[in-house]
Amino acid sequence: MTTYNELIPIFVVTGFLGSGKTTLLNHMLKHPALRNAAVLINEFGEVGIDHQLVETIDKDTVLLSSGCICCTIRDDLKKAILELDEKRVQGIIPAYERIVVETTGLADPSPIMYTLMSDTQLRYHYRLGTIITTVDAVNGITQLDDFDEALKQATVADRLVLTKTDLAAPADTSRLTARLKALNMAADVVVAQFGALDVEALLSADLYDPSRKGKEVARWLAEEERAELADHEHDGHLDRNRHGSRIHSFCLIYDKPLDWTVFGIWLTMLLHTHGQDVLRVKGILNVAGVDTPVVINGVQHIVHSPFHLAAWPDDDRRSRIVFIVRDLAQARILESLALFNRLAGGDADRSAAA
Amino acid sequence: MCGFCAVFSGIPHWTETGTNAGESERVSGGRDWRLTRQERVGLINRILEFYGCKIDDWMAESYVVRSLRGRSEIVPYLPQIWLAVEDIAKKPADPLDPELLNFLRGKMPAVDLAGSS
Repeated sequence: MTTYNELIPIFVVTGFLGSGKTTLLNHMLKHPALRNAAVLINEFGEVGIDHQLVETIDKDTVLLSSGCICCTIRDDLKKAILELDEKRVQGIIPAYERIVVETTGLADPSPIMYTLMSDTQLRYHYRLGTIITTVDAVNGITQLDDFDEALKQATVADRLVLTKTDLAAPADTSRLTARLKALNMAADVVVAQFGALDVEALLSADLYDPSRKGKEVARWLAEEERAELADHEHDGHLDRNRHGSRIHSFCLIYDKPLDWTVFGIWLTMLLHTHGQDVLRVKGILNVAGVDTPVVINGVQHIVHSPFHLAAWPDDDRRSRIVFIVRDLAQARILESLALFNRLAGGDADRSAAA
Repeated sequence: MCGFCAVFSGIPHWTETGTNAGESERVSGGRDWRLTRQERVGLINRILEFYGCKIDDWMAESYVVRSLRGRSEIVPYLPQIWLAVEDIAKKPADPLDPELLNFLRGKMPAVDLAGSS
């Protein structure tokens, strides 16, 4: 059986119209880390892609009967990947080690993620890598305010790349960075100063990369600690939510081990009712009876198969779960999971909520 | 309702594959896996008291959701239990519902859930 980290990663580059996705992609493709990558794009835009292996995806979407957009199968993407795979196996194209998918500027990345995480043919050969979202420093705030697509692209990201910062006032860039941190505390925000952009970190440092040994999780947690300190500096108020946005992120921390069976019951029930408003949930769990930490990673109704890290990233053995939600009360989520855990005789009362 | 738990998908649900992707699928159907299912059924039944329903494990293949009046639905995976419960009980299966939380609180010894360490 293929182990999880032997699967070919598929990275997604997304971002609103004109935010510099293709420019970023062209820069990334020059990096040795992407020497053996195949690229899938929706359409050839104004900026050409300078790469030997570029295929297009025809729009062909299958909406499942559930009617939930995040549970839409992107049949076009599936077909494109399987065609690439066939050509690779037949030796028609070089054996690629990674795939990069560039979305359209108005794409909701959720169906792409859903397809990659759940399709029976794809999931035994491929896995989702990082989601990289470009955000235009000049127009980013307006786009986040006015377009749900831009908001969604930012909230599901693992990496947020600020573009056009040379055209924006430093104060505007700072404001945008703060807004993005409020929306998605677990994502790394980097500035696309192309000479210095760490492409390796954008692409290879994904959650399931064995060479990283849990560094990605450690990075989330460091972000969470920084956010917690920032809150204390603002008289204990949740400063990250000050923008009045309906979307906000927070981290729940549980001192004592969680019961895995109860956690599954609770999370499936939460996502059943509120999946469209749980934009992202990811974290590291101390599961009762399990020595190593368990990583969970979900987008709306979609939950990635849980995964063990080989070791804890640091001395902290607490369960820490980052939520990005829309119109859901942090205190209620905290209380609900604690109550459910007590059903199994667990005692995982929260110790803190950042 | 999520398409991820579609009946015909043939994909093991993440709650059925243990805690380690790609490794624990090997033990699917084993003794520990069956014990976990049993434990899951017991825990869910404590919650479903609130909805006037209960579930049974059917051959470790599916779950049968039953109302006290004898109505039943068979579902393959855990997320679909909540859909069946809503269908039968005619109220949302919402873990954030204050009435459900009060009900669960009443089943436990008094503790300060809001207290921080």
